[in-house]
Amino acid sequence: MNNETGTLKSADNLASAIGAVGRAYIFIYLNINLGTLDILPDWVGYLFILSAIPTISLWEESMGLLRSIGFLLAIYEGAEWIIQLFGGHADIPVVSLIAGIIGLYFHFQLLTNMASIASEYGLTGRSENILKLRTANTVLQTIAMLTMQFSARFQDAWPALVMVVIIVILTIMITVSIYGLKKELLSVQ
Amino acid sequence: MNNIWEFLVMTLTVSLAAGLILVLKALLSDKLTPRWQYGVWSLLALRMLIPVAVSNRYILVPIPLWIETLKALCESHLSSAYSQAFIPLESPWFPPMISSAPHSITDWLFVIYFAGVASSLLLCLVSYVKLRLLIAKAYPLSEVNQSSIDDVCNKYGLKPCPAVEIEGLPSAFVCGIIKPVLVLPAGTVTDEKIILHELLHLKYKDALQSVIWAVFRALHWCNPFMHYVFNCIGNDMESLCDRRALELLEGEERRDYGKILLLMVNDRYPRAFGTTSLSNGGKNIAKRIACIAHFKKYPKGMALVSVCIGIMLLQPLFFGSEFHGVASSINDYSAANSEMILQKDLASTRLNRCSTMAGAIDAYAKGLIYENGLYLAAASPLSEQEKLYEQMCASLDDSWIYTHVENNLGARAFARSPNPDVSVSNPYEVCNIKQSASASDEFQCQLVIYSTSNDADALPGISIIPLSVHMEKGSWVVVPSGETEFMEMDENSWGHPRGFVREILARTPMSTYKGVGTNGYITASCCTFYNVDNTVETQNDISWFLGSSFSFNENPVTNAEFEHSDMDFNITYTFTGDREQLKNISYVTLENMFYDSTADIPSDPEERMDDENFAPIKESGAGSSSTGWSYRAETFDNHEWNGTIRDINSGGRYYPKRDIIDALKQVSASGGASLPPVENPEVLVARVYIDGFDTEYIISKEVSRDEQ
Repeated sequence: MNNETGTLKSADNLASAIGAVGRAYIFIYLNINLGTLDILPDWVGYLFILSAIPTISLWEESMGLLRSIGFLLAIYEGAEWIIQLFGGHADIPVVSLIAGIIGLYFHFQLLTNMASIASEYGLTGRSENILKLRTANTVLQTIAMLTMQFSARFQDAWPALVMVVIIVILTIMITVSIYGLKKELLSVQ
Repeated sequence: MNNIWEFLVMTLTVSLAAGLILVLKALLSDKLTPRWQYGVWSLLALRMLIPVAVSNRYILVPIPLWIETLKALCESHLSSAYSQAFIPLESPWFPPMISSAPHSITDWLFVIYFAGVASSLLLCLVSYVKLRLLIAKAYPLSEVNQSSIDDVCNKYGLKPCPAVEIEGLPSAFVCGIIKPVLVLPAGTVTDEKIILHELLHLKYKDALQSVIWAVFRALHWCNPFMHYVFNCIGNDMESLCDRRALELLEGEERRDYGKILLLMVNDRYPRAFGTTSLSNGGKNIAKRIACIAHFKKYPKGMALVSVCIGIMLLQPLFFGSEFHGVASSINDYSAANSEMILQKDLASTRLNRCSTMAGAIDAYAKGLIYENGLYLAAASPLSEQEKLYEQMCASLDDSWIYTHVENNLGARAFARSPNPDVSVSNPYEVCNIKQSASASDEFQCQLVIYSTSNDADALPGISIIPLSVHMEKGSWVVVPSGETEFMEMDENSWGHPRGFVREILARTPMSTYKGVGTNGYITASCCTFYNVDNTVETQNDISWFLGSSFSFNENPVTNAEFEHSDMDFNITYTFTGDREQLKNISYVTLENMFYDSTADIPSDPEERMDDENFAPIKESGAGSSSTGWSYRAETFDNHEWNGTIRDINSGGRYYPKRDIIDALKQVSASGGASLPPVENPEVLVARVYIDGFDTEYIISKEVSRDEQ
């Protein structure tokens, strides 16, 4: 059994799981639409993360806390994707708000765990980089949500648009950083 | 809070906010620390302290609209003393007040609610007084317990407080806010960890917080869900105190702390007003023990995300979403085919009153044009709402949709473009807005609707409706202040509707100027025209290539502003000399110019002659110079001059939106001038040339209505 755990708890597996997280960010934050079809659906991204959780939990126990809300977020995004696919518009403000809030926590915790793993392997620079991106992402997501709420109130779309552009750039940086972590873990091995 | 409806709005809104927080807490229960789990309730406390706005904004679901509708449906069949069907609810805030004797069932329900609040608060007070009396007779602290308190205070840097012992107590507690007392069970040695827990309650003023929650509990005494919420809040407060204690304790002490809680599982929960206690009932203690077991498992470094989650909740809990007061589309009102839908639509207009003068006139004008009772209701005083409701109900008998009301214009509006500056055809204009002499927030104006007569053979014309616009409970409302006139437009006027309107309005001008010369006199009347921004942009799939299309907005815009305004001066020179001379006159020219003050008139009368084509000219025509001088020339080759010559001068007085808004602000601040401009021009200078000879130079000034 110990042997089995030891096999599972290899840097290879960890790097593979972290690669899944990197792929997840591409699906979650980038949207490419063909008509009503989003070919990079968010729910696929959450499924990638859910698939990586059991492996990463071996290093980071608190990662296990994300399983339940990751599952909820995947269902929410899946439902929204199907409704959109058939030309509908899922707009239940309470549900969107709750999904937004637990999504904020989810990514904060996920990136904290990524940074912690980097630190565990002595990759201090990478760990600090991920923590900075995590903090920036959390603050910007909060500002973006407020901006969108208030843009709707004042019927002004440009602040929300500016925030979307900033978040897309940040997401690319996060994805690059996570893939960087994967690469460094493999080289450490 | 003055009636049961306001209580319902308040308690349901607060319940929704609490429900949202509970859902989030459930989702994040094992992820965020007890500090966040209790701290997030501060948002609910703030929500309860701030009055719930009974307006077009709502939290999560439009409760104010639902309650306003329900109130209208119920109260229209009752004669309540505390609320009326068509008077909108006030923003509820405590304390509840009984203003007079109850008349109806809803009044009695409010009296019962009021009695419940009073009883709950009284019970709290009585139990607190009884406890304080008991404490007054309590035993002094034993040496052992005193020594324990001193040890805890020294070890953890906590502030001591007076302490006593009472026999038969199941557990220690702290009582009081201003002069708190730590009460311990007599005859036993109280564990230092229990003392630590109580002193931490004292340090963080939890007794004060429990008093505040108890007052809120009393205000929502008949809402079982809120009782559940307040119990959760109490438990979260205890869990947070446990957490604080565990952070101070070390190793085995933490396990012992859990054991102490375990011993209390079967205790009765002695909750009392103004107190805090370690024990809060067996079921809750089980949850706290689970939290203690989880003590080290909460992820670290969660402060930032905890704060961000709180910030994200601010907007939905405090600002809410907006619903549109009046039916969002002109076609939507056909849906009002039941009393309930009609009452809901009317309720939405009551909650979304007109916030600007232009918005009120716009809603009223469109109400008349489209014969829509809802639009009229949005701009009408509250006293008119019931009458409008009855008219709309009556329209069902005439096979009309519910919202139909007769406009009594005897005419049907049509879209004209009376002003070339208006980008889309506009079926109405607002003219001559004047501040009332009696009230600073009351204005008189004339609404001009371009319309056709109901008689198919008749020519189109204009309907002029005199209006009074004033503030009512912070919103603008419109009432007709005179008889509506319909005037046919002749075929010549058809292409120039503004000229026709000007002629009509000259009979009741905004202001009048008069000046006398040697051979005649000048009279000038001034009219102002206002246009509301009613351009609506429509985009479709090819707009990115062909651009958007623009059309007239058929829906009322309750917060509209005047897009622009302009002034017309209708100037007439009347010759009073020898009538025989008229036969020999072959051409006459009238030049005129308005100045804001007499001091602005150039000393050199020739200074205006900056245009070589300017007057006097020997052919009929009109024009203006770049300096603002206007002229009109008439020749009399085939007929005799009748002794009058008339010119229209806009005086360059065109006011964009910003100027009007500024002028309105000045009016409300000073309570003075007319609109716009803030001041009418002081003088009109006119020069008359007869047969090319400079005959008259007349300075005219504004005259009062009596002098006219």
